[in-house]
Amino acid sequence: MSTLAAVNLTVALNGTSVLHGINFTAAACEILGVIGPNGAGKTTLLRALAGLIPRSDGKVYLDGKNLEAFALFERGRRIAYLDQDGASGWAVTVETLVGLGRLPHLVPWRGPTATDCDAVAHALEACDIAHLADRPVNRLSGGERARVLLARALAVEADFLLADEPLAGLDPAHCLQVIETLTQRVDSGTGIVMVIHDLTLAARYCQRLVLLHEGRVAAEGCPDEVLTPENLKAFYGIQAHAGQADGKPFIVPIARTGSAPTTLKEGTPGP
Amino acid sequence: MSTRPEAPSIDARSTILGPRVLLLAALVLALGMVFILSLGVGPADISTTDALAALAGIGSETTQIIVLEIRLPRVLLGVMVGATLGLSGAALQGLLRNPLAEPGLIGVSSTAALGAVLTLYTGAAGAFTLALPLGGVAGAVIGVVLLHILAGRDGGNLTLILAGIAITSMSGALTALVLNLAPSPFAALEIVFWLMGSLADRSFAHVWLALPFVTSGWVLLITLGRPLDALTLGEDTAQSLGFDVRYARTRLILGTALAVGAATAIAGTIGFLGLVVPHLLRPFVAHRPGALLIPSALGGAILLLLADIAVRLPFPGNELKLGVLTALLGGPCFLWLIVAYRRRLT
Repeated sequence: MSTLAAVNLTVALNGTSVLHGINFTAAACEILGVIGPNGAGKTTLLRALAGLIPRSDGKVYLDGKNLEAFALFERGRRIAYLDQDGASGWAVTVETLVGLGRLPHLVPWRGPTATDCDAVAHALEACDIAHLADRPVNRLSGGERARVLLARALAVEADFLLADEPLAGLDPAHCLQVIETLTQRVDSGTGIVMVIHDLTLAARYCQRLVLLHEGRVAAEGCPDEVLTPENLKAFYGIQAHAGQADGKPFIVPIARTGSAPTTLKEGTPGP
Repeated sequence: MSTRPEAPSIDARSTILGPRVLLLAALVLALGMVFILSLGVGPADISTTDALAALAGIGSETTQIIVLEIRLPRVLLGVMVGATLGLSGAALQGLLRNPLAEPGLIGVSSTAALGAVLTLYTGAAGAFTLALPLGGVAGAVIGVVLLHILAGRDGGNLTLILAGIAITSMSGALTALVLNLAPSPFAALEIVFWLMGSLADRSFAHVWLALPFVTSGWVLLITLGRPLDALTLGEDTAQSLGFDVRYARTRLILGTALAVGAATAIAGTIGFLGLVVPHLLRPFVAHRPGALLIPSALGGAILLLLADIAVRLPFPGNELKLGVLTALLGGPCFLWLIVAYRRRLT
């Protein structure tokens, strides 16, 4: 079974240290949710795991082998990365855009093979956008675009998918649809590491959670262990109502406790 | 479930491959026609058929000399310069994900022009024929080195554009200084005319001089198709797909500098072609940046040859300069592009 492990992962961006000695292991067949308040270093963690930014210390191991020892295309085939604000620079069709996910698989100077076309078709199907295949990507709604970008990442058919807020901007139905798609992928052996803000979905669909706070792992474990009232208060600065509906967990933020993260009060009169 | 995905994939491949091959065939055919047409244009009254015969070694000696030693190098240089501008425009637009990018943007055209202008000013250009293009190539090389110091290694696209603007304005200022210090109005006029861009009075010596730079630049640029496709979704995604974006950017800058530098050194500054050609052809390749490279090279060559035919047509007063014509046609295109682009964004 594939594993993706961060060992003492430390990253500094523009001289500011963002991640400090992160340790955890993601495995195939599970959704690992990365949660934490804004600015905790979630996106940086994902980018470092994907090998997109240099590390100042520590290592990332894919199946026990240093990530740097992989050839670039090999790494591209094994780890897919879904950008938070990935926007298409050109008005290509949905199918062409999703097909970009097959680039690491292509032989130089050869076109896509039948396998590549099938992977694209499956990704389109899985994200419920097959009917949009010939639509230019600049003529999509926000939710459609998010699903197209997810389909692009799924089309890689990598061992690991690192997804930065794949649910952002989706309506509730498509939220559920996308996360069920991801769950299906997990069932067929993919490992998913996903930044997620919706605590209810995190509690319900992630097998394990990593709670980041100021660049450190504040808590790690199954959702019950991580999403405790104490942790929510200490690291999010919120009081939440947790419960179950139809046997499924939900977490609703009720109030700010005002202690931990200091933010500007809304309604404060300007100068 | 397993049968449904098969159908669109087969459709997709036949529709993607078909129009691309068709487009390339049409462009090659058009280039061939314009090439032949261009051989038949000039002050000496030689028809297209006579010109073709001269190419094959048939016809009077004078005709053969005019066609082979005056017109053929001019047309070949037109193809080289036009293809270079179209290709590097398409590549730069792909890299910067911006349809308003242009080879002149990174400053290499201006430093090449400055290098050439300096040889005119110092009189070296009068002393031996190849001094002018050599000065241009030297200018281009200096421009690339500057660009690398300012925006190399970790520089992002914004740094690249800012560095290009800085280099352009600095070399523009130095070119103005040279004009200011020109020993005589005639020398200044010579420089101004050269800056306007032209393919007149070029020989095979120019072709051979530019060829190694231009072709090596082309090779660097044409092989960037897949990295540019990957960049459709931004640098992080391209990197995650296994492409070394920094390496691709370095190759693109170097290729553009070599090809555009040599082209500017031979023909002067010819603007807007690199901007307009990729834009005209983009819809025909389904907006894919990688697939746009070769069609843009062919389209650039076609447009430049057409423009060069137009400036050789009888015209009252002075002969119109090639760069002036492309700027006259390109300027309004540029405005229209900006308006269309703004509308799409809002």
